Amino acid sequence: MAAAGSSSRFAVTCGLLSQYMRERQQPQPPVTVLEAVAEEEEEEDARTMQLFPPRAAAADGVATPSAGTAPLTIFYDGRMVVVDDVPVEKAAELMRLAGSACSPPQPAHAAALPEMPIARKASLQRFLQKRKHRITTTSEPYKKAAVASPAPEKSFAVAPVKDEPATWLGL
Amino acid sequence: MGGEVPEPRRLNRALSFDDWVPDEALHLVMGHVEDPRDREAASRVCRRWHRIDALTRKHVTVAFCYAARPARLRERFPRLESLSLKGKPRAAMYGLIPDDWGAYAAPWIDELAAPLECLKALHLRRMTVTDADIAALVRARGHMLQELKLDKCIGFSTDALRLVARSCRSLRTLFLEECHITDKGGEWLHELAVNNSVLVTLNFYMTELKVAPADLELLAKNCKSLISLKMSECDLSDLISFFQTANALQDFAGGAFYEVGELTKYEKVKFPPRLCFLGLTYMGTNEMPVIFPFSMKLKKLDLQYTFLTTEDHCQIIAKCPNLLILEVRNVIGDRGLEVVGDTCKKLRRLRIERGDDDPGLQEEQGGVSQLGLTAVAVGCRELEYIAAYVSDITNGALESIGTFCKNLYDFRLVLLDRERQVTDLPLDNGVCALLRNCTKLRRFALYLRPGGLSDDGLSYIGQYSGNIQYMLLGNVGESDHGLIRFAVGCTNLQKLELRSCCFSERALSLAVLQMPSLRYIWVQGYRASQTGLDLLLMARPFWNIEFTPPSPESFNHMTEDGEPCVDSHAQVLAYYSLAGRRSDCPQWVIPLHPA
Repeated sequence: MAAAGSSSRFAVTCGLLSQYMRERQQPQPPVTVLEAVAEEEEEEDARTMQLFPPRAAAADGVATPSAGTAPLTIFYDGRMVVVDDVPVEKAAELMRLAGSACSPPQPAHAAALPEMPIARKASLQRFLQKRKHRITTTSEPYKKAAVASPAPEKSFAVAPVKDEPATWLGL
Repeated sequence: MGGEVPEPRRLNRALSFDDWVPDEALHLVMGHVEDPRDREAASRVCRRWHRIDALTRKHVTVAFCYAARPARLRERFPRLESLSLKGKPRAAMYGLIPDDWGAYAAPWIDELAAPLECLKALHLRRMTVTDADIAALVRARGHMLQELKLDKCIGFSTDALRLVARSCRSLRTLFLEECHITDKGGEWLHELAVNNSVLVTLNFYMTELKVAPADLELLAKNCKSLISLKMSECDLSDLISFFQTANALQDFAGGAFYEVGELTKYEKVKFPPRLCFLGLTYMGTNEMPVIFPFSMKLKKLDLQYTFLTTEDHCQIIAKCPNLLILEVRNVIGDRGLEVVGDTCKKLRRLRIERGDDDPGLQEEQGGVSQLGLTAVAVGCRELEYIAAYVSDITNGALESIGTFCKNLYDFRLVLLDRERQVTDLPLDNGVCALLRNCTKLRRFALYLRPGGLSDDGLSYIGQYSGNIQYMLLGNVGESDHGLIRFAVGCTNLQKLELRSCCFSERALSLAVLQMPSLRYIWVQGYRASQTGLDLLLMARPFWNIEFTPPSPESFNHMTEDGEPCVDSHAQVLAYYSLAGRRSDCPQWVIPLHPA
């Protein structure tokens, strides 16, 4: 943590105050913290999610039996299969089976990912397309005519032709 | 409470008086606590503080619209005056997210517009907003609305704007920058000019809306308070009367030079006396002199949408010593940046966008490299924000930024993939130095190429991430091990975007579980497992995972511009949510969850 500013001191003090208040009023349930709308826990959701805690992935433990079915999504070899109405026991069995298959060792140098070109912001992309058209127009031998009739040029600005292949990046 | 954290004993003593502090006093105290993190900490002290914080909270930002339910927000903060909502992943700005992905404003407006009686400012970013949504908002809040910001939103038309113009007479800010708006005529601006007399900021920059100059003149006549106008393109020579009338104007962008080489037409343009923020479209060598008479006064200059050469940039910037904000394309070159470093000692924000990749079309010299960045770092030590697309970069340049730009708050660097040779890779040591020295950093983006940053460099980023809350990383690291070491260090990171990296699903999952503050992660370009189930290793309570499979060529989605989303790589989005799983996923977005 960087050097504490005044805001951090305030937060730390509130933390201590919260701790003391909790000690004074023992039965008080703790307030959940999440985003700007922290609320008390929803017990039902918590119970449902607990069916698959992170550590269970490697465990051989028996899944908790649960009523009902749910869709099961399977990804294999770059393909995706969605099966509706799969019982929980069957899904758990499938996942255990999939987990037991040995995964191939990772190569020392990971295989090159497919090329992901760098993207350009949409508004700048539109400008560059318009610019290309304007430059093409003014460099034409009919430059005088283009100057004489500004209306077609304005229509470029309004409805640019998008013929340039897009290249992409997020920044 | 000033000074050090109080000793437990003293705090305990103070507590004995707590019951005697009246609610009214606590209301007043809370009203002065403005930092959102302090507010959050205060609300966790006890039930009483929680309730008083809720009643006194005036502004809330929901960083992701699927993280919470509108009803819950309403219940908790009934006296909200200002609300900001963010929708689609940032990648939508670059065409990587189809328009029908979601982020609909309707549920929020339906739930909140009427009951939040104090609401007067609404800011939506990258959301889908329909005419009906705006109509509902106007119906419920039109008389109260002072600020309406629709930032990079889609889905509405000028019909909605007419409704806003007619009904929201207290509107001071109307912000529509980079929205995609269906143009059904310019009447909305006329209505705004006729009905509003308090407008301060009007922004429809980078929309394609057509407006009549006469309506702008009428607006300037009726709204003496108009300080900022950023508009879609309009020939500058048609704005002469507007400029004569808009005496208070300080910020203007969007005027265009439609007739290249015809300077006489624009000689008569005279800008308002207080103008100090400026962006002009299609300005070229011959049009530059329009700026010279008041260049000394300019504080912000937007040259992203100009026809200027490198030499032109040098000439203009040399005449603008008072710039605080500069936005350019990389045509400025290293030479232009040297002029920036020599001239603009007060510069706070610098953005160097990526220009045209086709050098043949016009003179576009080399681009930006370590030479330019170093010159700026040495010369502009007040910089708080740097975003740069570069063709070449060195560790030394990053070290210079770390050494001289101590106030840096936001740093974003993209190494373009056009140049084959880069002087100095990997950038591990430069990144390390920058992060160690720029202790105020909150946002950090680094998009390189394979080999640009090793696992050691990735580990440094984690280790020295300090208070950074947002990161975008592209083409970094060498192995899963690097990602894990990175994650171990990121104690404050809330939002992470990863693109084009070599990490496995398993490593991504383990990394997510390692970062205690992480609320949101977006990934594109990773090593898929054979089963795809390794992503479920990150499953946990209140954590949604959404997978977008790679789309076959024939299945491209169309954006509203009619341009296909050409990018077809799989994406993973995972985030904390109190609202449970999304109920409005399009068919091609697949929620992942344990059975």
